[in-house]
Amino acid sequence: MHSGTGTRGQVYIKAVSEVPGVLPGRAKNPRLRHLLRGDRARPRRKAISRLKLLVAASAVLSVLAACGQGATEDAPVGETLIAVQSSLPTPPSPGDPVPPSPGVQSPRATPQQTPAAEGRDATARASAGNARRAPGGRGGGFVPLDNPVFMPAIEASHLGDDDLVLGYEFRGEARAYPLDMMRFHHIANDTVAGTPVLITY
Amino acid sequence: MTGQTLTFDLSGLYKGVFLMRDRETGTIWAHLDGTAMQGPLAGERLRFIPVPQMTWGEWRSAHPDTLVLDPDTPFRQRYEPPVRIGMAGRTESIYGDDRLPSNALVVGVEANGEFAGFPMDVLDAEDGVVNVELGGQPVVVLYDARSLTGIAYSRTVDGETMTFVPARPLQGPLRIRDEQTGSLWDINGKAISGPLTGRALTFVPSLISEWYGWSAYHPETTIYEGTLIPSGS
Repeated sequence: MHSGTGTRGQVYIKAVSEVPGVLPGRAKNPRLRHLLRGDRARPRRKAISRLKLLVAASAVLSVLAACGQGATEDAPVGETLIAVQSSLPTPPSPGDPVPPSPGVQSPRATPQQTPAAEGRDATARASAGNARRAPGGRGGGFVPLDNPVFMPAIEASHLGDDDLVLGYEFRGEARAYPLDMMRFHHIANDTVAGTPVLITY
Repeated sequence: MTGQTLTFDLSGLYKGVFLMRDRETGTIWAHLDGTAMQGPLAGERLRFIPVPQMTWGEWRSAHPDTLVLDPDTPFRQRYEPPVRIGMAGRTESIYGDDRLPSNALVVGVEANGEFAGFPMDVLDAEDGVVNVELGGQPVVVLYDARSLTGIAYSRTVDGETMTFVPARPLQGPLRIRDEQTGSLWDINGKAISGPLTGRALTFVPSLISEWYGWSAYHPETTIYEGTLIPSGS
């Protein structure tokens, strides 16, 4: 199998380039330019201390529909790359059975205002960098989960048999990522059996 | 890839599907297929790993020692039951093509640079087991409507091409049997009985996607409707 990543990547980039006006660098929206500049001034959260194989992600994506669809309605013509925060979907009308997308969470529910530490345990978890805010508030309120904390299955009494999870097993280590959490975080920067992995939904 | 560990954030949308940006290099990556679209690592690609969606009950029974994310994070009150994908936001998408409704769910499969979408209703009608050849590679695509799992594996085992048939027990989870040895396999690609017990099928990059995202990122994708139908036909 000629799975040269470069090859397929280049093919993909070519395909993107054929669509005028959609490459990030061509965005006229100043917000997008800012987004793509790289914001290097932001201090790194953690030093890269180990050289490791980067394994990456697979996942189920379709919840993206929720934010993607909402964004679609507000998308300016000819500008297909949309910063999530600039395209918040309209909240559902009363009686709408569809829950709001993760992108429309109330700004009041920021972590700072979450009762931070109800006990030593909670404090330790929060300070362990279990979850962080998106840099500069970008990402429309989505917050990647860093260095996630796990519990044994036997303690997970909050989960029912029919609840959906993403499952990953690597070198004998199995992990489950419940969808209700992944739908909020969308990204988990995790390490399984010593290998960094990106779990996305 | 580059020997560097990357850490990802969310960073906007492209064709209705979100983008990611790594904190270490600032490169923009496509969530849908892990392609680095712009930045220092442009042209690189993340490698897919098998992360099937599954019910907790099924995952736990297959992996009794599994760990599970602790919900006690600062964001606990913001977790909500997942939207039933394919149902939410049924407005017409401006992305992708109209060969299928934009919110139709497919198992998207990639092999040797070729892409195919397998609509879930078609997979379901074939008892969740489809044997195809994609990109010259024998592939089996599995879908378990009971656990909402969709995943693809190589059909090559020890250099031999296997053909799989459904072997689902009544009310039970999806099982498949290979016609060559009669071994029984589960949806995680593990042989659970028969001569090949303990063996594992090789994961083929695959994921569940709504049609608009899959067809927007991979416009050349074929669609499986009993056979692989090329784009434009």
